[in-house]
Amino acid sequence: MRCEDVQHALDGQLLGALKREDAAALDAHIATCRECQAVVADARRLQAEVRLIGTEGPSPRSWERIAASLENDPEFQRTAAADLQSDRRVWRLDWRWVALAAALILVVASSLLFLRRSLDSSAAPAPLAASAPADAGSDDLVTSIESELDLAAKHYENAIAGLERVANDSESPIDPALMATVKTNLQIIDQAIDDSRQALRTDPQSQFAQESLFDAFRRKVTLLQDTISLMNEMRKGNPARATAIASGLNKG
Amino acid sequence: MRGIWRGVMCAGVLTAAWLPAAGAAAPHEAAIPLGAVDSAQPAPPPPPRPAPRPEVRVHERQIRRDAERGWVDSEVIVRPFTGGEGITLDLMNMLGDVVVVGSKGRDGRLSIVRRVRGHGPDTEELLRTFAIDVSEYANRVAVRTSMPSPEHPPGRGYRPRVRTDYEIALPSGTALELKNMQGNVRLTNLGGDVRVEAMAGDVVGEALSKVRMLRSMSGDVMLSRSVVEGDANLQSVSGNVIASGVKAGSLTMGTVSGNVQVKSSSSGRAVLRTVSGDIEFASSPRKAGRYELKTHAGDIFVSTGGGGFEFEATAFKGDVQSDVPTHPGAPGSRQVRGSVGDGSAFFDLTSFTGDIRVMKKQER
Repeated sequence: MRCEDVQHALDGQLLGALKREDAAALDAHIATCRECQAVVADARRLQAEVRLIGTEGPSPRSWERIAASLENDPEFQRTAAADLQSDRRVWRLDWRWVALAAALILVVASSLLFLRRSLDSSAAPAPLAASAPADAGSDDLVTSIESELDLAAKHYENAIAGLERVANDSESPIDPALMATVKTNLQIIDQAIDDSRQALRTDPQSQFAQESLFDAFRRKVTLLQDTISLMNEMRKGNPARATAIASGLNKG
Repeated sequence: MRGIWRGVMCAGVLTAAWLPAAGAAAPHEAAIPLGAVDSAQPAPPPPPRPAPRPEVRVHERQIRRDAERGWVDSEVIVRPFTGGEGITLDLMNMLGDVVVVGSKGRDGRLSIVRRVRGHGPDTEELLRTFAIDVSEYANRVAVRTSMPSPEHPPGRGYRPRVRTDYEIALPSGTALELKNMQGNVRLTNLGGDVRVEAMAGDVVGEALSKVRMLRSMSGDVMLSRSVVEGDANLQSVSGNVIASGVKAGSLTMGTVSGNVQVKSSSSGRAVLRTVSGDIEFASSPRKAGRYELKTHAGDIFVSTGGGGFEFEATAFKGDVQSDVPTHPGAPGSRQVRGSVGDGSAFFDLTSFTGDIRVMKKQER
């Protein structure tokens, strides 16, 4: 095996499609080629890092806390100041990050405003609608972001509706007792959603209730996805039925 | 062993002799109205039931055992396979228990027992025809159960059940990918990557090194006495999730309706979540460790054996209690903060309707 073939062979190994003799040739080549050993080591390190990152990052509050700690850390301040003085390129780069961070803060703040208004449509006044005409530009921006988020929320709700429709399929191959368990747990999550909505109506500013609501939404989507994945596993060997499930997902 | 059986048989005989009398007395007492105790004559006790002869008892016991189990077994099938680093055992099972034990060397072994439960002429035929396919590729061993469709579909009400139980000796370093639709899974002493998804049944792991995922839709997930490289991910939907005596880079544990427990364990990071259950963290935090515990309708209980930590507890409707000095958190929130020792580790605790309790000494 040549070095040019190693990447292809590694891909095949990852997919489980590598023949036994090719695997032996790959092992033999890697054992003797230092460059390819490095390639394999990099690939494994990357895999491990991706696994460690996981699907969930720290919560927004955790990030706030990290940022606050760094701001209050004199050693961090001193090092950051020294870096800024010594290298103007770094300084410019830092300002790009600051601009990006500012944009992100704007998006997050706007999304929270949107969330508050959309969840409390009956009672909550539109905070920016009453602002001065001088703020018309920022109003437009926020309104635009709100529209985007509104659209995203609708997609989100449609996705849940589609998932629910598939999961409630009367021809579900899942054992009825297991399906009953799934439905019970969906009701538990629905209760959490209702609790969070209720809390937001009482206190539209509550970040805790907002996080709780979105957490419950995410959990519901995950559970529905897992349920459908299970149904697909059960129907393996019946591609026509699996296709029907997939098309059902797009009807939301 | 013989003594135990004798004891069980004696207990059975005594219970059989006592049950008819007890069973007769209860309905009799319940049938008498309270106001009629003085006037009503108590009903005569039923005649004692003659003790069954030993051969009858054996026959009845056999019938009862058949009704409880009713499984017709095939012979044990043993399939060897080659495992080791870089090889994955990929097993999908519909119904049955799976036991996987780590072994030395590169020689693995599958011990498979097929079982059919049902009645009618097709049962024996079914047992003969449903097959286990074991396919070995360069870096994957795939095991599947295949059941041919019957030529003559059975009539209404006929529900044969087919299960396959596995006992697997898995060579050191071999990765395991297991999907078990219904049945319990037990894993012991495995050095390779482990990913198990059980739909209905418990998943129990012990002495595992690389826990990519242990998950059950309906059942408990437990990991004990393990030193895990990187993250240990334990998930359930309806069941408890427990880590006991686990040392890992990080712990990710979650369920919807069940409790989450971390006992006598150590990890640099932990994300523990449930919706309607409680969370218990009874372990010492690591220096600079970060622990996020979140439940919606349950309580959170943290008890640490030592080490400095800081915590931030938010209970939207419940109370926060602690044996360490606390102070209010963010203005207008129901947040409480506290610190112990150097405060290097950090706990982020949130419960929507439940209570939160933080103790610096382990109580339980």
